[in-house]
Amino acid sequence: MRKLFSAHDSPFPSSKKLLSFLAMSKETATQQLWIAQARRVARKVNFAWWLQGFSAPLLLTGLLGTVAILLLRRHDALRPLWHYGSALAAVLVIAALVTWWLMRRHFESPEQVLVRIEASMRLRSALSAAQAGVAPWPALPAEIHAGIGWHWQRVVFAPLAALLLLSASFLIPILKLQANQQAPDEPQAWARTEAELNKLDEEKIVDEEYIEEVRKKIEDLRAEDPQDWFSHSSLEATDNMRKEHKAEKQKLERAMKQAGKALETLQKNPQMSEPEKARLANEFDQAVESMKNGAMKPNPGLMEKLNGLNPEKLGQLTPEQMQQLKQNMQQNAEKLQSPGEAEGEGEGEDWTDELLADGTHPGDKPGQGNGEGEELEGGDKPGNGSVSRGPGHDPNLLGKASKELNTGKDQALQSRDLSKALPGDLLELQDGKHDIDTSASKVSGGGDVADTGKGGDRVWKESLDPNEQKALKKFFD
Amino acid sequence: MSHATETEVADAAKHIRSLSQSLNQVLFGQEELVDLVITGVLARGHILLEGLPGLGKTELVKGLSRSLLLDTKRVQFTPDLLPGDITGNPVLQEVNGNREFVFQPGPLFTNILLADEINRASPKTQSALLEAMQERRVTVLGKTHSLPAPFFVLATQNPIELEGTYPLPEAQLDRFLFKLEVTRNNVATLERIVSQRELGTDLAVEPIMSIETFTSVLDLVRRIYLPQPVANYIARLVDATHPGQSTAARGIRYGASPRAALSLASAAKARALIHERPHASFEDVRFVAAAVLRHRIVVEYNARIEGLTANDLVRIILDEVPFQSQATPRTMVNP
Repeated sequence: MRKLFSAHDSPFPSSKKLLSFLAMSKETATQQLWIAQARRVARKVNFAWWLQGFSAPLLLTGLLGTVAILLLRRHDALRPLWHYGSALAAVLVIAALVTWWLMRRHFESPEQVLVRIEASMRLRSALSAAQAGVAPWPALPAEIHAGIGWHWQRVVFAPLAALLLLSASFLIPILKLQANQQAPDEPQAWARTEAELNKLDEEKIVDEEYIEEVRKKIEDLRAEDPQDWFSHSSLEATDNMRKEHKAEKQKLERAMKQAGKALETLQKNPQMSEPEKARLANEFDQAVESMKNGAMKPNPGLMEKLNGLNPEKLGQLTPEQMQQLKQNMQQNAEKLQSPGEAEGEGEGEDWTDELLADGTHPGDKPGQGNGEGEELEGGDKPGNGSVSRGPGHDPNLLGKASKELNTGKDQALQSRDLSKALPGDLLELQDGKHDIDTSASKVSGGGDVADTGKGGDRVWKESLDPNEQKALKKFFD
Repeated sequence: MSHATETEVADAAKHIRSLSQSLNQVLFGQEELVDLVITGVLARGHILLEGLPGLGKTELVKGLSRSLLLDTKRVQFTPDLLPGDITGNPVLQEVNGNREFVFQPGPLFTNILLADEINRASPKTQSALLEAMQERRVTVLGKTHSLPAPFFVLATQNPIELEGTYPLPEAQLDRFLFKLEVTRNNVATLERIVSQRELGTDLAVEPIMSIETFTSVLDLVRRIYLPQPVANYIARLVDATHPGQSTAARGIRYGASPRAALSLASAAKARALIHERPHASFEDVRFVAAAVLRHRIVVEYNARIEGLTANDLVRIILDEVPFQSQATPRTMVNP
């Protein structure tokens, strides 16, 4: 500001200087008022920019906060409310600072706001000119407007939405997660198999190696996530394991029975012919081989005895030794039999053994069990199917198969030219007769009506072809 | 260069007001046209007047020259007019006993050239005007001759009877500061003309200012302050005429040149002086925008089919481009 008084001037300022000073003071005051107004508007505009930028983080924070609170509530780990308030406030403060840093490139200075004001108030660039010192600052009007106002819907949307989300996170009813939620019951097939294995283990019938192997399989299945125990793949694996186990057991049982029967026959008929003895020795040998080759082997003690036995010298065993061996075999075979298995009404593979036997056990007794029949044949009931394949379809679903195939007599074609003949060339011959119209015919004069007909006769007699006429006639006959 | 002061502006505005009143006595009911012609002249620009015959275009130009005490020549452009007919020709003369070519200046050597029906001249003759309009000089036989200052071309063209005419090339159109459309008069104006005029009589127009005063006013226009936000607005306006830069530009094949931006600035300054302001404003730019831009943009064929004219497109651009360069946040509205 210019000095009003100077050392060389008179102690009293001249009226011209005084007026100039007063005018200048007024000008400066007006300028400051305009700048102050511009600052106020600039703050408003910049806050609007910041709000625009802050909307997304606010919504995101609200959403994440809601999810976090819902999860905490589900796990029953709710804390005092001020904990959430503090965490939320911290996140919001950081988000606000980051938003301010990002949005500051949009912020407007008071000089830029002056342009808004002069454009909105139609001041014809008076403020820009005054700021450049080209023209005086215009008088401050009663009301200053920059031509902008709040878009309230957009302003309140994000805070309101965040608030609603957070409120909802406390109010939505939610099922709390149990700390020690009970695992589902495991498939019964595992327990059943384990029980069978325990029994086999206790009675020392089979090799322990096999038992451990099956137990390991069950443990592997059990180690899966309990939620997956009843999944398709798990049940399929269980089913396969059960089948294999059962098959192995039956195989061993059959082999033992076969061996036992061979010994029994040999014991009962010591005077049999040599070929018959050789056949029985061969059977015994096959049964022992089958035991050796199967995954389920007999217990090591029995296996050792069988290994040390020469099938060709079975006849040399003392009756006591043979009796003991036979009993051993039969007892083991009986123990391998599970209740309700393989003694069903169906015909197991035992019938072949019995047929091959000497007739002492005709095997014509009805079985007592009611097994699943997987190994049985000849049933005409719908199958039980696998765990995932459904019960299958009724074999009679499509009706009984017709025996009348309406085939003619086939006759092999004889060809004189063999180069053109094809193997399997057949000629089908059928008996039949020509379709002859047997209705009476008569001579009629020209123009006479041959057949007066009945109502509708013309339609089928004249418009239908012979085949159609025939079908229609047949239908009404 | 110092900016114009309020006192200087007020003094010059007084003369301009007198000029405006004088021209409004010549041409009744065309205040806006008169205003734009004065603006164009003060901006040292050439003006293309387009309108039907008999609307007073020639009278306006004659009145302007008489008011400003400027030398005026009129050329009726015809298809057989040759470049030399307007620029001047070297003529063989005897000078000090020797015969040599002496340049005989053509009608171009004047302060105001009234080029009547400029679109009837051949492109060759139209091109001869190019250098004169831009550089304010002509070159004949390798020798350059400066034109008197000030020099203005006020050309007229008839929008009908286009048979046998040669549309002005874009390069030449760009050299005209304004293209003004002279519209017909309303009944009241016609009544006034009938009452106060006689057919075949010349109007007595009083001179308003001397050539020196006029030159000083022209200098003052250059010293009018153009605020940076207004310059930015002009730049954004011109940019918006280019395809892809605005919605309206979809109907434009070629946008305005940087010369258009300079013309806008110059015309805005002239208008500020007419309105006794030492600085130009957004409103000044808006007022002259159509006159400056309408002949500088090439309208897309599809837009023409839709019935859009250059005037429509300029109006859309003016509505689309805000005064301030700063965007408004989405949380605020312009009520």
